[in-house]
Amino acid sequence: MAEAARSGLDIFRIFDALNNVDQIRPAIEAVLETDVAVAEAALCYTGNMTSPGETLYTLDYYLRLAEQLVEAGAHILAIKDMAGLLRAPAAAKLVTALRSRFDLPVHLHTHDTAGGQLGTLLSAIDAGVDAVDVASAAMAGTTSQVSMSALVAALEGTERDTGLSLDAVTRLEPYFEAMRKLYAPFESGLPGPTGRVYHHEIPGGQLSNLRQQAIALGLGDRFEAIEDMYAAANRILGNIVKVTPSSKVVGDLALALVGRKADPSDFEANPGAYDIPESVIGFLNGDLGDPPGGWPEPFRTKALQGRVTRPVETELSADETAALAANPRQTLNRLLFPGPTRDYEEAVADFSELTVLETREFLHGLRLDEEVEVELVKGKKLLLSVSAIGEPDDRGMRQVVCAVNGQMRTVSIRDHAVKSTVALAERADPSVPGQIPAPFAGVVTLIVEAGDEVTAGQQVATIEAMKMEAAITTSVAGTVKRLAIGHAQAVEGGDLLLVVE
Amino acid sequence: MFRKILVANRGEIAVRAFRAATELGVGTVAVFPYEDRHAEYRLKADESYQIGDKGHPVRAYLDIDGIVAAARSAEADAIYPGYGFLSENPDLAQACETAGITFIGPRHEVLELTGNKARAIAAAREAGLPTLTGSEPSDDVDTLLAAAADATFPLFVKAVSGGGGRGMRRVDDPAKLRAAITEAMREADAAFGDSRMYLEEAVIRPRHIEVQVLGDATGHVVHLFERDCSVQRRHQKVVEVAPAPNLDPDLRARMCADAVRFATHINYVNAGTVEFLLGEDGRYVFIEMNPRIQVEHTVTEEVTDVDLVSSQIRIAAGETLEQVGLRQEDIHVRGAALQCRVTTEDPSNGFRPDTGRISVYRTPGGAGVRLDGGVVYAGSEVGAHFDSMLTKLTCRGRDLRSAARRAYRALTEFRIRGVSTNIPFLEAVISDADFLDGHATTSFIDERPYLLHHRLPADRGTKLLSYLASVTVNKPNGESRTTVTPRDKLPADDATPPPAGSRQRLLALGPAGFAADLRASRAVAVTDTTFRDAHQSLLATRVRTRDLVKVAPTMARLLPGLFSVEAWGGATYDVALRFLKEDPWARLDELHAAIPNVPLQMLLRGRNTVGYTPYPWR
Repeated sequence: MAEAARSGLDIFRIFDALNNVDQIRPAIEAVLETDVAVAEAALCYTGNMTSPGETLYTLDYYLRLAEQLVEAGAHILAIKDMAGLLRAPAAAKLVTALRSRFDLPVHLHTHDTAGGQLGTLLSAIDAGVDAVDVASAAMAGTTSQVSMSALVAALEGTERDTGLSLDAVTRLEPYFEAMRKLYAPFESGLPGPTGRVYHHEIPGGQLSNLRQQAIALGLGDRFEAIEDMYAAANRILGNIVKVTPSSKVVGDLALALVGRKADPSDFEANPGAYDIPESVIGFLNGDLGDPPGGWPEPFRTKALQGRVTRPVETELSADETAALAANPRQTLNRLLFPGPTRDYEEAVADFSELTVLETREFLHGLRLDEEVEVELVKGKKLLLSVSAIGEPDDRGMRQVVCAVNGQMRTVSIRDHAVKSTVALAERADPSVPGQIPAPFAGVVTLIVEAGDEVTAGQQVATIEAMKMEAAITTSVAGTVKRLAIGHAQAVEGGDLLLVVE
Repeated sequence: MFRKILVANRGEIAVRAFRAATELGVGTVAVFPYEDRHAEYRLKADESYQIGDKGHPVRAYLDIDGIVAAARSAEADAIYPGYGFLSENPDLAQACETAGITFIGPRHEVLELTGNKARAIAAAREAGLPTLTGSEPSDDVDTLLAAAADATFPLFVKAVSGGGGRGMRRVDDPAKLRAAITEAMREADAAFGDSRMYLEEAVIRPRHIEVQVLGDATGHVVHLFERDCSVQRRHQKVVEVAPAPNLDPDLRARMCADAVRFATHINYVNAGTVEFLLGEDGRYVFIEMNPRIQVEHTVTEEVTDVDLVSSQIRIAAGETLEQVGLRQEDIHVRGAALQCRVTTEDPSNGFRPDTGRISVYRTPGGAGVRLDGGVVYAGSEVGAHFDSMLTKLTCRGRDLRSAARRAYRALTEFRIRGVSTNIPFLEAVISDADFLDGHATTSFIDERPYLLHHRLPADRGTKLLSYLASVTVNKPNGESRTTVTPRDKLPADDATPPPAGSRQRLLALGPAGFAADLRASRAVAVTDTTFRDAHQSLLATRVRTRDLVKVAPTMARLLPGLFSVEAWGGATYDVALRFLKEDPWARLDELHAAIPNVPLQMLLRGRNTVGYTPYPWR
């Protein structure tokens, strides 16, 4: 957070997936420590506050929560209605109560999933809400936020006019509309509003993901089944607040149960008879904290019976601490997302920074004979084109004839749709010291036989590449279990030569 | 003069010989094994013939009978051996003599003498040249170990038939002598079929100075001054210069005179090189004579204006030095020249020779730049069979500094893609201050490990192209369904700096004051989520920084009154790394620069910030 504030982030909206203020407090403190950034503490809204049947997520519940957030030192209170469940009367009631009880401004965030959230915003504004979240109209509606132009127009000339120019707001819309078309492959496929959200309570961000997952499961046309199972899973897990990552727990369970066509009540009674997703076990183990409504028993005890649970926290090592100080950004990437960071760093090594590419080329590549410009840095432009794609060879490689700045160049590209018919050389596993690899490409001559006894450091092969000849030794003592190549053979670096056990 | 010369070699030296022969009006013949059928040098000869058996390319170049037979059937009346392969093998010279073909080089008796280092050193002593102390040659490890009993370390283990650094080891620690002898013997046996070794006193931090000589059949010998080949790695020369910088004129005269005396003493005919080690104390010793053209002959040609290969041919054809126009008093050094051997060795990877297909091959040119190549071109394959040299770059200048400056410029002009090269390493070497001051010794590279850790060429063109080609082939996101370009939809923009906005209010009031001001204000404050939650909820968070940064300055100018722009956190962090291949921090930097007047807002989980699992507490 300190690094983000240093990098120009001014407002931090902080929440916890189970509305646990203990989890939020350290983050608020970290923002206060910066002395320049704003701490906006969010209470996650779920359920139906104004319904007489709502016994858990009541106005009292939210006010108790807000009180703790205020005590923790927040500058602003936020209502984070991630599924778009906050109805207009509830908004008025909640905003009025929060503003009369506390001196803090209130910032309202909702999703327009059911289609009526402009009504909620206007009702909250009448009740005095200080700030609201909206999105450019071309990027608004359904699982996203309410349209900015609709809000600005609605308040224009009123005493609560936003001060934004409706003309300016709408002048930006064509850009976002065109931009959105570029990303069509990632559209969630939700054609319009859905009132089903009041039943399943799936957050806007997750709803689009779940629809894609349903298609992958062959349930694209029976999404209701997933919605119903999501609602059932939520009930079984104790009617929890659903927002990343707790929403993922519910979603994972719903997909697992739909996948095996399970009866939710049988699962609830006999969870031991089911494979349970790791995220669900982690949740039940308390990895995310305690849920507001308490733990669902005896389900929880039965579900955890005999399941291995992992320790949830490790210490930051001295090396990591030092790296955080020396190189905070890269170290944070690696600590927060080790796998994706590795993927990213590999992509940069292989392809250089891909941010210089326009999105159309980044997503779809080039059309034949169409020349594209890529500006690497100011004053340095590459002109790239593809003029022909060859037939795949038996390794699935295609020769692609390209041009760089008008000069022809051929690159060899693996077509993943074509199966390679060539047996791949066996690769040595670097974590097994007895698997002796070729240190680099060259011609290797083995000088031991299967069954030979070897000592650590003994030479087992010779490698020759161009003018160099080098000895290959074994780092472990033992018996030569098998030879992986012929006695003299051309190999690539990393190929397995022999195994010592 | 000859009618037709067959060159029993490959690559740049074959091309070099073809060029000289063509200038003399002599026909040229190339021989090549199957594996070299695509090599460029083949096409530079008037005729070319395949020799040897598929799968054994090196053997083909070492097959005396095959080469002589090829010369006969091509009706060549001379064979030019180049360097390496059979160039120092007396048997080829002998076989040529028997076949009535002229071997362009010294007589086989001379090759036998120079090829046997012990005999060569004995001959040098006879001629009055200073030499190193060493042991008798032997192929028995224990005999050699016994001979080392009272030797001083460091010393060299050297193969009697060695060359080019093969079969040679420097030993600093007596305990490691046995291993070094064994290893060198195996290498020499494999390379030369002769495992005999001798031990030799090592000179510490010497310079490697060699004198070029030419002798004719009438017993006249001239020298063409010296070269400094001190910049070496594992006894392989890397950069060579002529003349040797900072060499005392008296010393130069003595070394050149010694070289001529030695060549005369052994009745040397044709081109040869007498190699010396020059110690820090100004003492020098003879080490060996190379009875052939050398890789680095180019620098001598550049500073003396004498065509060495042409001279070799003319002398072999029977001309005298006088007829060739080489009188010692007429041979002068003008300016300085420097040669870099451009290879596929990757210095940051232990100088491992790289192999693969060359995708781009662009070379430098211009005044004072000479290239001797002839093997590779864009599209050719660099295999593991031969030497990893791609080309030789030789540059001339008024002095070493200007030659080096020109060479540096020429190196930066190279564009070689598809294989690693040593070009960045060469750039580092020839821009080193000690090198430019003429203070390089044979330890130059070993003493400067940082030379190996140069910046790799970014090679962005190739990398971006391989990404685009891969996406074009594999279509991970299908075909593009739109032809609209968002940038065209931006409102006409005045590009003025954005007006002060709510961020300036935050900076003025501080966080608490800013919040109080929000509470006191009647206007509804508006947060724009288009940059974060909107695309997270509609487009799986896939909108790239590029598309946000394009519109961001216009937003900053049109909507300075926004309360905040939500732009970071939530899923943006991991999606950036995972799918967009962007650094999320770079997104933050760029948006902050583009929107300096509206606060940036992020969504943060208290438990785990932007991640999904618990992380260690500080």
